[in-house]
Amino acid sequence: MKRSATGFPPAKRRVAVGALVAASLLLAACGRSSNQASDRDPGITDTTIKIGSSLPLSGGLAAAGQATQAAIGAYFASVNKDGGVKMGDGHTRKIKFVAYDDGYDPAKAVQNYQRLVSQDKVFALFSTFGTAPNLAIGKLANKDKIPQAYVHAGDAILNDRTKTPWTSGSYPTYESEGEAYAKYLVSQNKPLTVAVLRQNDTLGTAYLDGLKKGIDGSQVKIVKTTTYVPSDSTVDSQISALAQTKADVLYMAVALPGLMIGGIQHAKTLGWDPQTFLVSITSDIDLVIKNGGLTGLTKMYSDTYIKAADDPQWQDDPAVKKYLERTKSFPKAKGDGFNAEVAYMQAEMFVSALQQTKKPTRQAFRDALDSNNDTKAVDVLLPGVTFDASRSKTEPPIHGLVVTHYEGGSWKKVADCVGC
Amino acid sequence: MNTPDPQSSPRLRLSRRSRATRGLLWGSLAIVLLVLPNLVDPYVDLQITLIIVFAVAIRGLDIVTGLAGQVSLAQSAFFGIGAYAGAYCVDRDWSAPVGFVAAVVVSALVGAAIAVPAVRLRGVAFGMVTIALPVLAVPLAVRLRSITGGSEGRSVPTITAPTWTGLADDQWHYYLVLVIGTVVFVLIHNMLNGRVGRALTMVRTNEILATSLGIPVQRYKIFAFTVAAACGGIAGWLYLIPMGFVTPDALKFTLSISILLALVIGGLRSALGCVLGAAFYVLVPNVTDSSQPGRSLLYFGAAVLLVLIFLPDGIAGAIRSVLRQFVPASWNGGATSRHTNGPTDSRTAQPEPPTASTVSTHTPTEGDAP
Repeated sequence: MKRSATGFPPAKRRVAVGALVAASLLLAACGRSSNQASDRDPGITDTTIKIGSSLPLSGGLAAAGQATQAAIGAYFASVNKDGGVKMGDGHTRKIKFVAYDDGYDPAKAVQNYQRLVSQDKVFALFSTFGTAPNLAIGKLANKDKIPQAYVHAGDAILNDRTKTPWTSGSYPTYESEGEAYAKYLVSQNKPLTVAVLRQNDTLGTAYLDGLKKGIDGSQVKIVKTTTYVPSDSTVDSQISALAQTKADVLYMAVALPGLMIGGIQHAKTLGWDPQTFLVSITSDIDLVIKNGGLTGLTKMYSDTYIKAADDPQWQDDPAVKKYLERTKSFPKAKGDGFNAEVAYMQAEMFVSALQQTKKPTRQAFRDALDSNNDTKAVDVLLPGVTFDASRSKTEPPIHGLVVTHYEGGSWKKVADCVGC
Repeated sequence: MNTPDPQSSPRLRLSRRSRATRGLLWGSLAIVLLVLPNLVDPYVDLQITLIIVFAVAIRGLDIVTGLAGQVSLAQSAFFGIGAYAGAYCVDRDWSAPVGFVAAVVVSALVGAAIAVPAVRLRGVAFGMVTIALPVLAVPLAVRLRSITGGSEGRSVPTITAPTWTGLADDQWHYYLVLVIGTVVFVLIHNMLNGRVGRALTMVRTNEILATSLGIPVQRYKIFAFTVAAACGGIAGWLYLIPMGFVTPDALKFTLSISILLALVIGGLRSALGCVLGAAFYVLVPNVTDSSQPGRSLLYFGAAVLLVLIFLPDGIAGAIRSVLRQFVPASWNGGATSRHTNGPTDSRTAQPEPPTASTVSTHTPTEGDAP
């Protein structure tokens, strides 16, 4: 049986529907009052500044995300305890830091972005984690002109301020890491064969591209490349395939500590003893070397730009001491030492940029991000490594990588700093 | 307590007054939905937009799982295929409607291709076959870099609101998704309200009887699966509007499970249930997240369990049984699930075996709760 859905006779219904649509459209047409361009942007008062981040606090990268949050929290807490940041406009402001979990899911990161910007009304984003989430957020941040300061990712695409002026990278790219190690191999001046295990994504591709670029035209040759995906529970079969080449060098572009450890151990059980390169993000002494029982190995290489707090050679360094002191009451920073210290370094860079911000506007802060070259403010950097954003708009502001060799429980410098 | 079986009141006696009330209700809902984006901030807009997007995907699954009774874990694959098809067309500079058609057609074709062999299987076996699709699709998406953009996915330019509307982008996204989502819901409602809905109900409740009545069971299953796939594709395409990118995450098997969970939580065989399930899927993690990040999954799991234990019919089912106590019988299930309680309703026609859902819908009306 047919009847009208509303219970009104058809003619009246049409009028009613028409009126309803018209009224709603009228209301809708009012739109939302757009953001008023002004001498002061949201998220900043004379005494406070609010910044936000999106981090993987759950899921496979939870340890890294939580360590990042803890270390940033530790640094900002100590800054606030001393009264706050004296910014370039003369006001001293305390920093409020808000972070939401994205589980490394770009879709969740976009929601977090919208929440931070429209509900928490943050002044800027800071240390947002991972390439894919940052690319997703970056598109919006550049459209909305919200500073996406010092992203916690090393992809070259996040380091091009000519294309995305509101996104600023921080540490050397994965590609430049690969290149630095390649140059070290070339400098040994003998024919070497390299077997590569890389993550099957942009991160792995970037590490491989850097390696290729660095060995181009030299006696160093890549003989085999295998890949894994982050959800793999083991890389044993890949390592076995690589071991058959009996290559001189095993290049481990592996981003997950568990797979890094398992892969190196498996190579050892196969009786294959190549020079092994561990990328900086997974060469942490506590988390990877000690935890994975790799301390006895003698041919491990890596590269870095910071004074690792778990490396005995830096135990008496004032900057590292200060770092350990400040993060003492933030135990999660210990969960992933490298990521924590990198985030701490970024927090130092961030505060330094705030000090140079002349007006309480996002544009002024971006100008400070673009010109900041205050290396002294970033005390956890290795000697020789510099912080200079003004040098190039297509490079990360941290310049310099040092190739290291694991000996005596420490990552010892084996070559001159590349790019210092 | 109340009348022993309010279901038996014939719908034909729907009073003029209650019809007017229902009209008023739908009218106010429409006004709220139309005005809403002007009252809230962009974050809330985004949340509501996503709820509508996922409601479409869940409604699709509801046809094959709720109506036809076949558990499918392939919905995320269709969601991802729709999104990728849309993004691919944008990349080729083809217009948005072309992308939409591509999303629907490609996902429906893939759905049909899977369904034709799979419908020979039943129950768990069918579910297992459907798992294969998302499991295969993710590595495939990573490898087919030229089409999918590899593991970092495809990004499309944000759709900006035309200036004549005076709307912000997020508001424009909301209206686009709302209009398309509403059309999909109305189409499905109309489709299920007639012969197709009755046939699918029969397929679910008693396949043997359906066959003996001349209902082409397998053809209906294929049809249901294909429509579900098309809905998944539409949802994937809609997802592009607010998100502006798609990664292999959109194809993931875990999304399929989330969609199935959301359907069960919201309530099977109910449009309202699908919307509520989508709201649960989108909103609950936000709440659990704010209390203690890192444990949000734990709390989400607990929330899922609570709903499943205490509201076995889903949230929509609970609302229905509460309404049944207070309002005329003609309101049962609103306009949303009439097709299920229609001519083949278990309480009027005998053949339905006592499945979990029929048992539990009886409990509240039998009044044996303390």
